[in-house]
Amino acid sequence: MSKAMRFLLGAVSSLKLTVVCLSAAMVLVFVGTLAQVDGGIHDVQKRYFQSLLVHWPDTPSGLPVFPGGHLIIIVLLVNLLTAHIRRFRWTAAKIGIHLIHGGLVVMLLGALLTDFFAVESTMRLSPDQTSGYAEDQQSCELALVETSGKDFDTVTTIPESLLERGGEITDSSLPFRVVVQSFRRNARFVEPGRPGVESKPAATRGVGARTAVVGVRPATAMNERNVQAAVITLAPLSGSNELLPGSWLTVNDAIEPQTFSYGGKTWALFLRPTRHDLPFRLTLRSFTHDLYPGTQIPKNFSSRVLLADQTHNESREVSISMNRPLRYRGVTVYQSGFLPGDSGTILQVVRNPGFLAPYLGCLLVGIGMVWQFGYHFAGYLARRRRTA
Amino acid sequence: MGRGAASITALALLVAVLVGLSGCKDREGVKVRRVAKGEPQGPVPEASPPMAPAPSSSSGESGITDQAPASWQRQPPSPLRKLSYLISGPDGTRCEVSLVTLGGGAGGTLENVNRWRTQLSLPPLDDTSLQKELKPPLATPLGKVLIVDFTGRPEKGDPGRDGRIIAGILDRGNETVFFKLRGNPDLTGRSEGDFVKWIGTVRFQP
Repeated sequence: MSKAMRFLLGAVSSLKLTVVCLSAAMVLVFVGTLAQVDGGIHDVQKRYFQSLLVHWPDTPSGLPVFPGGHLIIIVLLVNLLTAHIRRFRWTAAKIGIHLIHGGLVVMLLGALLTDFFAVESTMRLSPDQTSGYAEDQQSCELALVETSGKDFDTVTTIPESLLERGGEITDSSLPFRVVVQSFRRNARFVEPGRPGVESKPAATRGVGARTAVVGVRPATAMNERNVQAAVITLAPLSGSNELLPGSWLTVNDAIEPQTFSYGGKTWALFLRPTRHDLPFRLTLRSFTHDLYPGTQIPKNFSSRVLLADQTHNESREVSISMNRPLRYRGVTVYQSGFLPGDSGTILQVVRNPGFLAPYLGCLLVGIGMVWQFGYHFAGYLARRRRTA
Repeated sequence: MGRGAASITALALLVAVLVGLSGCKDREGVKVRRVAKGEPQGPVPEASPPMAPAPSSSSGESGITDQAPASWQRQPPSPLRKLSYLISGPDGTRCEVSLVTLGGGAGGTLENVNRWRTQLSLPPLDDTSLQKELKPPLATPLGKVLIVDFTGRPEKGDPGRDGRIIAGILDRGNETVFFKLRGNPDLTGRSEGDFVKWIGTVRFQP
């Protein structure tokens, strides 16, 4: 191994780097917690903890001013693993240390796995309503639905990240290009022509022809949500760069469906909360919301649902209540809330492939500590016996 | 390759994968699905299921309660409309009922009335002629509601769905509330009684 490599390994595996990373993590948690006052939990989580670098101002071109949560975790992982590569000794006296460090590695990897792949969404069901998907209320997608098929519709969805980037979007399923003219993360809508507000309609077709859009600050409070709005135009795939006539305002809220014809087929346009398909369908049989007698304080929420999974020939009724979630095929469904007037249920749907990591990590750390303590305690007893 | 070099290579690969995953976390692409016909594709409203029959009393996140006739079909609220209903009549005729609130004076009564008149291709009014057009105000627990009633040309040329507006304007000091019944002229006329009663049931939660 060259001298330079040895120096690099020494620096990367040093205890000083561990202390720097843990200190940086403490600062990040402190600053990130304060930032939630103005920035809201969801934005701050992405910006501070689920990123490699914290940028200031908060744009991709902003100056990186501090390591983000992901970078700190990755450096800690490298630090821990290189220390083992350099100083690994397979002796009984060290097994406990290895297990404790192994547990820490599992926890750090589990944290990254959760950040990368976990999906949290909600399912709203009224009695007898069936759904095979859950929605993420924090983000949206543009759905272009081709409705000419006899039994099926073809739904092409464009995620919010692409809409926010703007410009042209193409896909083999679309016979046209989608040109994003503007995208607002949070918007309010006023009737054009009203004195003192924007007089120009947001678009020329559909609901946008009679609505003006005003951009507002993204929602930060937990009980608020953004109402995203995009103005789009369609353009032919090839040939001239000429846009098709008209533009559409799409809003992530139920206003009314907007339809158009292209190439002899009918299309519908929706901006909607991002949908996550589930490997099963749920039908709400009943929902109960019990209160403590004489008060409005909730005692228990529970939903009786029919779980149907054709691929596994599964069809059974299950109850989901506050501390009794449904776990099925890697998806956990919790009782989360209820629709106004108890008219239905709100279920939280979580898919987290790293959910076992904290349990496994804690188990390894626990076993390691017991081993380490027990081994040294046994040695101490043996020495005492010898001296006696 | 020695054991140390192999370990370092594996570590470098792990770091590259983790950094790559972190950088690409929010870079999703376009997705295509085939779904059975009839599955709703639009946003699901938060306050109530789409097209559900109107409850006798509603209280969504808008903080407004009302008592709507059972024949009115509740529509999803929108950023502009705090409450919205659909009234279906014979031969496909229909009317829409809506409640909109706007801050302050919202431009004044005359400006708003003239905007509605323009939508029905009617000439604008001045202050004097507006006073003649106003119907006797409706006394409600919320205050005095000014009522106007216009019949004109349907905005999109479909008389089954448009042609008449009966609207109420309520000044609440810090905001103006607009109650609007708009649609097929005959159906709008037949629904006027229910509409007026409904205005009287609307309450704003503190």
